[in-house]
Amino acid sequence: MHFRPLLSLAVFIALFVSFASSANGQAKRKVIIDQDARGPATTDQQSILVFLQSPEVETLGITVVSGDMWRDEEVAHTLRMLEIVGRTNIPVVPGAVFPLINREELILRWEQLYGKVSYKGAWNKKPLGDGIRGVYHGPYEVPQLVEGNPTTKPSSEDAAHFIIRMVHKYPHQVTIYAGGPLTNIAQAISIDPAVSDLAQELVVMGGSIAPVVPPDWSTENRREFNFWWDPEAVHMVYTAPWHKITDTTVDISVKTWLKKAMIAEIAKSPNPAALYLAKYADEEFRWDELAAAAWLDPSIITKETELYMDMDYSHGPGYGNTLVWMPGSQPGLGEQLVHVPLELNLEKFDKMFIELMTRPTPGAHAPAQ
Amino acid sequence: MRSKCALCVLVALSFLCPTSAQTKRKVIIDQDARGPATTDQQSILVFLQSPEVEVLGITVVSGDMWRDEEMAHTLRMLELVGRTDVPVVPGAVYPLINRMELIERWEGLYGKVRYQGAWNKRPIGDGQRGVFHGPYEIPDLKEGNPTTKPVEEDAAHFIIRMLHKYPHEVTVYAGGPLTDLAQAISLDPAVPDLAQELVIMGGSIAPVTPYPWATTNRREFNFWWDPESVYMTLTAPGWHKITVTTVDISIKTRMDKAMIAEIGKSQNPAAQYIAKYADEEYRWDELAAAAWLDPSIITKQTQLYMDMDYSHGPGYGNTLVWMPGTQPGLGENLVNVPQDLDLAKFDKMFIDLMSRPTPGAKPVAGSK
Repeated sequence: MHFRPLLSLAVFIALFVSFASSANGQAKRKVIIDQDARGPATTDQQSILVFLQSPEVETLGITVVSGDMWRDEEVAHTLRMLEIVGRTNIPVVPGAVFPLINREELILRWEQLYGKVSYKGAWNKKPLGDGIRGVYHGPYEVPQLVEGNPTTKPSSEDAAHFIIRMVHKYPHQVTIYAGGPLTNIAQAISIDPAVSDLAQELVVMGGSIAPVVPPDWSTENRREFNFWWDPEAVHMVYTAPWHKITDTTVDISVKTWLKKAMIAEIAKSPNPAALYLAKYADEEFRWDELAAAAWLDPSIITKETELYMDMDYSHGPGYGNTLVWMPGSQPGLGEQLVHVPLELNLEKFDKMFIELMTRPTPGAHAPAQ
Repeated sequence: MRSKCALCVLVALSFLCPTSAQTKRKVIIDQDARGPATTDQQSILVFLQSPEVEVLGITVVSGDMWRDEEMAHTLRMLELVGRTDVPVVPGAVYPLINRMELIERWEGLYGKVRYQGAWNKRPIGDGQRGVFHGPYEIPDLKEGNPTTKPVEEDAAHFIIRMLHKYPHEVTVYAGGPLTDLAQAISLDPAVPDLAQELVIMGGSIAPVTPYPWATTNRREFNFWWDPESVYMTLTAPGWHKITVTTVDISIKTRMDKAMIAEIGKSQNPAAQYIAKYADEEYRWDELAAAAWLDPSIITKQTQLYMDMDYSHGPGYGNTLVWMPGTQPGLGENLVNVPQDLDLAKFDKMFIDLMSRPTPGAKPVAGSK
């Protein structure tokens, strides 16, 4: 007798629940993480964790590029990290082994004319820089991993095709995050010029403008490693038409030192991500984590500017230097207007970072031992 | 008795008729396939007209024209000769770094570049074709619009896949800018080793040419369009053999009206296509293809280390060469450079190839 109102209510509730849960599905922000994923821990794996630890993020895949280390070793570190936190459902997609033009031998010659380059990533003859890791070896060697060798495998698809396929599958919905050299993204754009329009936005850690740093660093303060490893790729990516580019440069990175005390704070948590950092993290600037966190919560950035940006890819003394112009003074050869964060709320970022790293990993299956 | 004879005959036949599938030479034709006719389509025909060749696909790169228009010309040519079974594969629309706007600025500092392919504001150069338009526009084709379609796979991926499928059996032939090859090598550094050999038309060393040309005689269009790709391709480790046909020998191979008329006597589709649409032109790309088919047409060859000037100063796009022993050793490979040819032999071979029926052709599509 009172069927209809009850039925209507039931239908209404069912619709509401399906709407709410589909809204949750739709509310997830999609990202492709392109990373020179050195490990264990370091800014490279930690920035990936910033995304993985956030329930509002859907990581479509991690595309791996050589830079801080060679690609195959980086793929191994990433696979192992995903096993440890229980997210082996995320594809690890192999990208470029070599930069487009730059080569180790080229740089050895360049140094004889233009002086030593201090940090050279996979080309370091001895481990250098913060997040010191690894030994010098050839491009395809994968040493034993201190955190344990992975048993899972990378995708058989290459990074460029994965990127192209994903932005076509989800037009205007995917953020491309690049925490390392831009070779994979340059490959993708070269094969399919529609990529930059189909992506939702581009978020980059790279480049250096006028950081406040010690004297040995400031002698080459326009050179930043990610961009220097493959300057031609940066030029190709930065002269393609994107809807929005945000570039976190060294200028702001040097305000974000990860201290031992913070690692100890994180280590109080029993969750897998926190334990991973407790075991393997070192003091280091949070280069890539900041770029990721600011995408998640723009309010941690308190001051930002807009500049036209490109890269010096001439092979003279300026090779790999960041070029920037105030709007109005740029040459107009395809450079894009880029958002450059300058200042952050460090307390807010620290709190956010500790909280992210200490929580359980969303969507984790039973983590590996 | 009878069965023994039959057996003998069978055995003899099997010796005389090699299993043709296994002896066919496999090739991927990477071309900036301007059309109709011109050296670009004609070089493709050199391969298609040869029964001992298996063309795995034609990967199309921008250069003489923009890629999409070139694919249309290629599809239509395949329809006209009845070989629509050959995949036409879309390659790079743009060079890696070089851009039309960049060149306009470069000219302001370093002087005019005469032939700019798809960036020509008006058709120039031999094999003049087309009007200036944007990268994705396809004008109506004078030889008729194609109805067939290119494949969806991109050139870089196709090249990688084919070389893995047939390791050490596939020649990569490049008659245009090297963007597709550079992409493939960047994605998969195993590509050069997996290829059987690399055959290129490009570069210029010391050609004997009239004066306007001689002022820029290290610049050749294919290489100049994408110098970074040339560097990436020529310095890649692993190639087993590289042959580069430069302008130096190309200019010894003019195709004149008499030759076109001679070919036009044949009623076969390829010959009719050339009779209708070919112009007087150097046989830049045809020679590179023909010399791969029959090396005996080359009477003199040298070996040099070769690379490309990709600095963006006045030398941008210039060919760099070194005698063995003087090269910088930054990855340059030793390259075979043909210098002289038996022109009569090449002419005869070319006329014969273009006049014959197209091997493996299906009935020809309507030519209207």
